[in-house]
Amino acid sequence: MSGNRDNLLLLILADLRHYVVIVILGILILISALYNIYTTHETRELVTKKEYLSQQKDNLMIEWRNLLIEEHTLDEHSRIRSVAIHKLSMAQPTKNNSVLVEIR
Amino acid sequence: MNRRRTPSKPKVISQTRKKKVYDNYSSGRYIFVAVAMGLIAIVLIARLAFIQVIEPEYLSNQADKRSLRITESIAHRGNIEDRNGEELAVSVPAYAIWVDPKQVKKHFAFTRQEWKDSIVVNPKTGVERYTKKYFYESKKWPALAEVLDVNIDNIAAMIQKPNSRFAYLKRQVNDPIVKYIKQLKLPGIASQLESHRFYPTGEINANILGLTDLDAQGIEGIEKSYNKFLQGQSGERRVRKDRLGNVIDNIAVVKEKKLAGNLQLTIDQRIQAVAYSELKRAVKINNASSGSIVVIDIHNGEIYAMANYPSFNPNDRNQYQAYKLRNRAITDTFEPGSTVKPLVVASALINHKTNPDEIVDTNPGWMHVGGRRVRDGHNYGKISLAKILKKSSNVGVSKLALRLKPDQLQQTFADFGLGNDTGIGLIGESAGRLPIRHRWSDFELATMSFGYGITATTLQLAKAYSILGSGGMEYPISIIKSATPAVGRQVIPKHIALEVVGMMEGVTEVGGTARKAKVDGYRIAGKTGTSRKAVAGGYGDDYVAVFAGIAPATRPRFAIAVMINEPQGDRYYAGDVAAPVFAAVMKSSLLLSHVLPDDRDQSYTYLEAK
Repeated sequence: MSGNRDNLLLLILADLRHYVVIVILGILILISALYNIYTTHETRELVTKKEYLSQQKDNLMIEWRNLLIEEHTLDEHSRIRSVAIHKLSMAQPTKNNSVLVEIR
Repeated sequence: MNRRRTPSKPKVISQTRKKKVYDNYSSGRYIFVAVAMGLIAIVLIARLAFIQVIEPEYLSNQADKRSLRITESIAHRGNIEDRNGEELAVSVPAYAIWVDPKQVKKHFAFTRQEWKDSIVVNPKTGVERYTKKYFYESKKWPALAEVLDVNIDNIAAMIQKPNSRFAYLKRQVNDPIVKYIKQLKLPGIASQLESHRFYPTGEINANILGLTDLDAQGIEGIEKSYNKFLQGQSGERRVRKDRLGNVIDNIAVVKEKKLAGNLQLTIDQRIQAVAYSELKRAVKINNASSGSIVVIDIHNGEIYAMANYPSFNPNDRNQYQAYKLRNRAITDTFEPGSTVKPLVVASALINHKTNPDEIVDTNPGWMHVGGRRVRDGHNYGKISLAKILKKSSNVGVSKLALRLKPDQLQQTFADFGLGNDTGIGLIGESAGRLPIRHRWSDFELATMSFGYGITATTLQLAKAYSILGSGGMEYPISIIKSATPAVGRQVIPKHIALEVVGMMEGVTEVGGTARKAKVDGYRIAGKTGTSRKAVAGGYGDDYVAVFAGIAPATRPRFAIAVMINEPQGDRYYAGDVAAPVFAAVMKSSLLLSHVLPDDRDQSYTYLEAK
């Protein structure tokens, strides 16, 4: 230190070393602040993603409901009955051609 | 810093250096710069303090105006499903297309004159330009009218109304059409999300489910009775959105979203479909005015099917007519006629006025009661109690009734649930009429024993028979599936109920009144009832044909009551009109519910588990 008096950089460094605790705390504050910004950004991205996903879920729910209606329009019992009887020539089994199985 | 540096500093060097630096040092300039810098700093700090401390609201308000939004999330009306989870009513999003006439008028002219008036000359280039388009020349409006299935003249009239800012063009429009309309990019046309209620089973369940209005409020049937439960509540949240419209922060919940509940009914749609189609056929074949049928599970009072005719398709509101909507099985009462005879026999047994082995003398086929005559179709002679029910003998049952005190018979009727609501909890339920008074003439007592002078609904009749079938246990009738098993109440002694069920088996046998109620493989206990309809001043020429029955007779599972109102033609007897419906529906109910056949005479191949 005393050898090179006019080197300002060294002087500053020496001074910084003297207040090393404060300097470290300052750096920590800086890191923390930057990290805060980063986390906020990250959070916002996640919120956006969640919002997008729940929007997608809603859309799927709507599609499901529409499919449900389609399904039940097609599997309506009287329609199936008439298809079975008229198109497929099916009939309800009579007592003669049915077998009773006891389940235990 | 200075404190440490000064002692070790050689004066020579520092002085020579200082000389160089301070050669052109001017204290005036230094002060000027210092003051200027200081002032700038003070101004900046003051501004900062002003923004941050003194008036922070203004800027944060401005920020909020640009980023804070309220988003709504729609809660759709709950589904209604049957006991197997099959949906009977589903809500899907639909859109209402509306128009802001003022916006349209800004861009479109409706008369040639108006169109010519809209001409504007560009002052620089001198080019003439029409700011409005002529409405009837645009190809987009006819396209809109076509896709919405609305007359274009109606749209034009709607828009031309003075001072109007809002009009629905069409409601309940589905998504693809809305996308198409958005592509048209017509000014003043917008869509609004709403809900469309869809009933996949159509007219089969229309009477019991009821329907909703355009604002998704139940206005009839279960939709109305359970409106609150089905409704749910749309939620609102305050959020922060970025430039692109993405939500970046959830600030607060403005209105809690409440998901709508799904309602599960006890209806078995498979049986319900059969019940409706059979009933519809019977009503049409017999030119009847209406009909109802109810299927009840004897063990817990759950309704497996409840159908009415006439009905209508709730998906097509043009068919809407109030009389078609009525759930006749619970609202319409009729005189149950001979179907109450088993209850009279039960009453006589309860009050020890007869015993199961008694032979009643019905000779000569008629009798005088209080100066009036009670008649049978034939002279049945000396017959057992079972035969009284099999032949539906008015004389026989009157003789039993006359041994009872009026309040004893009434008490039994009341125990079977007549004159009281059934506990189903639907709006519009009628309790029927069971007149309570102390003085009864003998003739009135006799006519009451074959079902005149009292009225009941189809549901009440089915309930009365289910009480017989369950060995005298009364269960509250339910149409909403409940997790807890129903608690029964013994209202009729068990042995008497079962004896009466046994007596009713004759009805489908040779010589019984309803051979058409027979179901292959199962023993049926039932009773017909054909009663004249009361009109002003007496009884008219119209009939009500009723059949109520229980099966299988040895281990009862289902009770069914069928009512056909005003059958026309020669065959108006319940055995011809109502019994076939009973047989078809009972057969489906038993087979679909895997009930073991109890008629051992029938030739089933039988595999027993080892």
